[in-house]
Amino acid sequence: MDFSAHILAAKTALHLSAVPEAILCRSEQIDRIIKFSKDCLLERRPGSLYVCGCPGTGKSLAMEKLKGLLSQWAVEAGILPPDVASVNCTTLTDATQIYSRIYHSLQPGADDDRSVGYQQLKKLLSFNRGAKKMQLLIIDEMDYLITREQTVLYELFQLSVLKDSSCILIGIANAIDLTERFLPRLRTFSCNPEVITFPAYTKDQIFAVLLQRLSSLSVATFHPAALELCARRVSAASGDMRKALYACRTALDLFEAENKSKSTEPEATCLQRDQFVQVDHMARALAKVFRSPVIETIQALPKHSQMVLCSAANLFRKRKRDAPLGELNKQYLGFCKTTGMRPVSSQEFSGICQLIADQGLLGLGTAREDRLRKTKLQVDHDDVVFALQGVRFFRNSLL
Amino acid sequence: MRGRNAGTPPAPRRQSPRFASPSSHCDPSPKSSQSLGLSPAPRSVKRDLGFSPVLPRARSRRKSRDGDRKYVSRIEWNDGVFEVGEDVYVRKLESAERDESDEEVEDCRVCGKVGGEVMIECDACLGGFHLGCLEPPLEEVPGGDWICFKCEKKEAVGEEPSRRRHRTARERLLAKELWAARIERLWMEADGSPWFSGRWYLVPEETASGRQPHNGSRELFRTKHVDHNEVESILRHCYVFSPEDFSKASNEGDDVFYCEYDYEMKWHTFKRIVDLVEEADHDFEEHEESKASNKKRRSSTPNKTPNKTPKRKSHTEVTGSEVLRRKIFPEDSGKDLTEIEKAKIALSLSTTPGSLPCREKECKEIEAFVTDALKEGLENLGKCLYISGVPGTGKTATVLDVMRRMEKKLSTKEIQPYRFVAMNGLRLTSPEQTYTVLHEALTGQRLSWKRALQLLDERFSNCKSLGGVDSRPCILLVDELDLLVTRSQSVLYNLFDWPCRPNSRLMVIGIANTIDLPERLLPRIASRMGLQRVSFSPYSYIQLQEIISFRLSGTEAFEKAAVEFASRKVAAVSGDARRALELCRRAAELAECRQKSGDLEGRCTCNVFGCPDRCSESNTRLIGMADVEAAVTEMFQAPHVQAMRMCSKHAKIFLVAMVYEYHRTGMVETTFDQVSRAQSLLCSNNGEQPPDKDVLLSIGYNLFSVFTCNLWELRCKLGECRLLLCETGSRHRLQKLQLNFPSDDVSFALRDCLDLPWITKYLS
Repeated sequence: MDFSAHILAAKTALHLSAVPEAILCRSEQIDRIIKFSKDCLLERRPGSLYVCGCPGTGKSLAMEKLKGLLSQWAVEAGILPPDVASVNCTTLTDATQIYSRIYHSLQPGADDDRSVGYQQLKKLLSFNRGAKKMQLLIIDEMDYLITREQTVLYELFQLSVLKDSSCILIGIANAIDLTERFLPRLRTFSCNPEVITFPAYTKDQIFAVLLQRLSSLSVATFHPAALELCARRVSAASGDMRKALYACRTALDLFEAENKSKSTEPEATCLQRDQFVQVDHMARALAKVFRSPVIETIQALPKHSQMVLCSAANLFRKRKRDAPLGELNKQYLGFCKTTGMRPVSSQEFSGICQLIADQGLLGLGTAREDRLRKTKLQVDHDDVVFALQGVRFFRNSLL
Repeated sequence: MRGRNAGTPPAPRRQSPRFASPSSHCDPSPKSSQSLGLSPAPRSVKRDLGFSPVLPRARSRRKSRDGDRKYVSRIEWNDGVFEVGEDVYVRKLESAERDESDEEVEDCRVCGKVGGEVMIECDACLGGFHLGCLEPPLEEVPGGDWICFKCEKKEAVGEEPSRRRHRTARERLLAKELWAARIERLWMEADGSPWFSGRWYLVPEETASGRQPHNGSRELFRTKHVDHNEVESILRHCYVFSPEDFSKASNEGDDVFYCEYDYEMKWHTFKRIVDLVEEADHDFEEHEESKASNKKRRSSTPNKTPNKTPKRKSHTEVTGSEVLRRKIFPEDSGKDLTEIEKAKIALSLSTTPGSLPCREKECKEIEAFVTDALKEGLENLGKCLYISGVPGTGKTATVLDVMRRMEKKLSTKEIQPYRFVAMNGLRLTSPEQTYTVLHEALTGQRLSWKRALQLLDERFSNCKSLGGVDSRPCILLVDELDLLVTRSQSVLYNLFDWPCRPNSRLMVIGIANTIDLPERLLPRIASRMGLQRVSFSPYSYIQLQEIISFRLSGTEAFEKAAVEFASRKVAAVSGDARRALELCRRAAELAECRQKSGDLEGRCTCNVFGCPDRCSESNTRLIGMADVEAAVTEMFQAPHVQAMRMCSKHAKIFLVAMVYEYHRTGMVETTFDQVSRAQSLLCSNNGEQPPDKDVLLSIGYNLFSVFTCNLWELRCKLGECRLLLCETGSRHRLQKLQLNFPSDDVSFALRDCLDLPWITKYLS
């Protein structure tokens, strides 16, 4: 098989937008969701479900799957398949716009520009007023609907408890306790949405998913050890599947680049080994992904920024809390005096502090006057010491 | 066929007094060519209907012959008078219609790709189609006339037969039998033949997206493409207005059009002409679309309309993909410039250098990203890239440089065609405006952000189905990304969620200062943003030195050591290349100044230095250390230090007394009473006349306002300059005072004060 076509196929398989055939390691959650929706469909009763979990744990993917499975099952079981409306709340301009969005996706023929309120939607979803099918509403990123009074969220959940409603509501968000924290009054109208949590992927799960994604390829691309390394690192950090996929892709890029440069030299001997993405490619990719660039950032800073950082480190070592910018300036001036450097002016100094803050090394609050802005060291004191001890200038001044 | 788009929402229709004027049925054959003995075919009538990048090929020719030409502002021809800045119809001559040597690169109207299969051309709209892309697919090119399905549909709707004997020029233009252009310049060739260079207008059908429902029936698009033609190819006048003038104008008859957008043929993007003018004004007040009408009205004052005043210069500077335009170093005019002037031009920030030294690694990384994204087969996979770095480290310049190279690659067909949209977070009135701008750039339709968001969301959910140019991969560059952060962060969420969708074909490149912006955002956005990051670290002094010397490669104005000094100075503080360049430019200005005054004073300066021999070439010509040093003090020295130096004598003593008090008590705040006591002590100890209390107070006041001989006001003066912070309220003896700047600044400023030498001992 052609090498570039091969790489291309691997990249496509690893891209986020590729939807795998079967969703691994999420069967328990998906089963619960499907069982719930089947029950609702069979009994023709409304219901609500709340799905939560960290980013990259397969929530939205599971919903895509659910849609297909449900309609297939409904046909087999001889029930009317439900109408599905799925809305991603980030694309709403206003929380109340969700009603029109749902309305229009359930009624594709209706006039698109008309805005629809809660009452109209309620009418649409009511069996008494002519609804025939069950309606499945999938609300992604539900926390974007949080307003001051939570009316929209309450009303949505209310739809799923009304007696003659045909609505099965599935809400998705990151927060595990959205229903309890923001919607304490749900119980008063006896709405108790079932909560299904998507846990972060474990290392075995990530490994399995990666293998499954790559299994479609005719030739193995990754060394299994490389995949395992990726799975272990990602699961230890966040369990975010997107990160794992990115890391694999980066490794693939590195591998491709290396191969390209090699292909110019006629070296047939090491070709066999290079068929795979090796562990070292993956290690480099992971280092890129999870690297902490603090040390290099500090070392690349201009001299005066380093001096400010150094005096900040000294200042916050003694008293471990934040200090106003004026105090840091004083420390810096003292530092300049001991080292015999000519200090920069105070305007320049606040510019330097802003620069360091942009690099994520210093926390800078807001205040009416520059002098009073709260500063805080955001990196470890030891990191600063480690980064600067190589420079002779700082060796004696670091505490 | 095209003249009657019955369904389009047209701009107001008008009565047309010229409708039946005889000239509108003008005989297409050139009348006067025989009399001049010229060949009837205009030499360079050529338009790229395939929208491949167009090189202004006529320019080189013009340069070589410039001497023979006589430029004029008006020409009388064929009973018509043509002036620069006017709009005209240009006749399409048969002989010039298709040039076989210039291969047409036409993309398929269905799939948007170039080449590959056998293509067929519609005889009505001249659009190209792959045989396989048609419904049903054709096996071979059919004999005789073939009309595409789009035209067939139109024909089915239309009530008249397709060919009409006599048509107005307007209809012929809309049917693409005529062209419209704006005359940019007119001249007589050496052989006496009159020529003009015209900037073409396009009818909506000629744009990549074809005629859209929102295009008006008389809408035209202005391009950047200028060609040279003989005046004889001009048919007659037409009138192209801005939309606002168009609705006002009532007497211009049938040949009236309006032009609202600039069309960029390379990227197939639209840009509002109004915006272009406004962008130059940095005028961003509008919020919602509801106010956009105001905008139109305001900006359509006559001097801003594209057709009435030939503001050629300003237009060429701002039109089209101006982000990729490069200001060319004016070499030919360099003869009469001095070395210093040349250096100043080379160092100015608006000059974009040909390449960016010291950023090769980052450049490569970004280029790899873009090439990878545009590779055949990979274009369906959206991607994100986040670029961070402190100001002045060449982030935007690098990206634009890469895009310029891509443009070159595109012209040699190494990569497939793509679209490029650039926006800057600072130019948006609100973060949500992103949607409006993006949608407008892609479709040429300006909508409220809410509607634009909805359409964009639909679009990126499945871009493949759109077909034609719309299905090309799109690269979106968002500068100052951090300004798009809203409370809910939904704008960023959407920007980075779209590339994750299947078939979105969107690449997002975000640029911001903060290195850890993704970590500061919500985890769900950071998760989608991906992990491709490029960070630009501040320049080191060696890199700055290289950059400056690279810019100055043509001139010899700077001393090597001076450049090094400047770059070291900047690298120690911020590593900002802009500042380094500004510093050097300022040094050049100072040197120029010195040189001029030196010319006036002649030998005078040499005598001061005491070295009449050395003060020759090296001292006057080159920009030396002294100039850089002067520029450095000017740039890095804080204004408050200078303000302290310029204070009156008693104000200085007042400041010293404050420092003295501060050292004595260790308290930051003192009362006025204490300071005045200290001041009189200082004065009596050093033989100065102590000022009375009123004067002293006025000194304090004057350290924040203007000096008057009143003690209260002295205090207030210090306060007014914000050298002191005073307790608000009435002026009284126990008012609390505080120095606004560290006491070291006072000592630094007043240390070597000539009129008060004794001050120094109190400032130790």
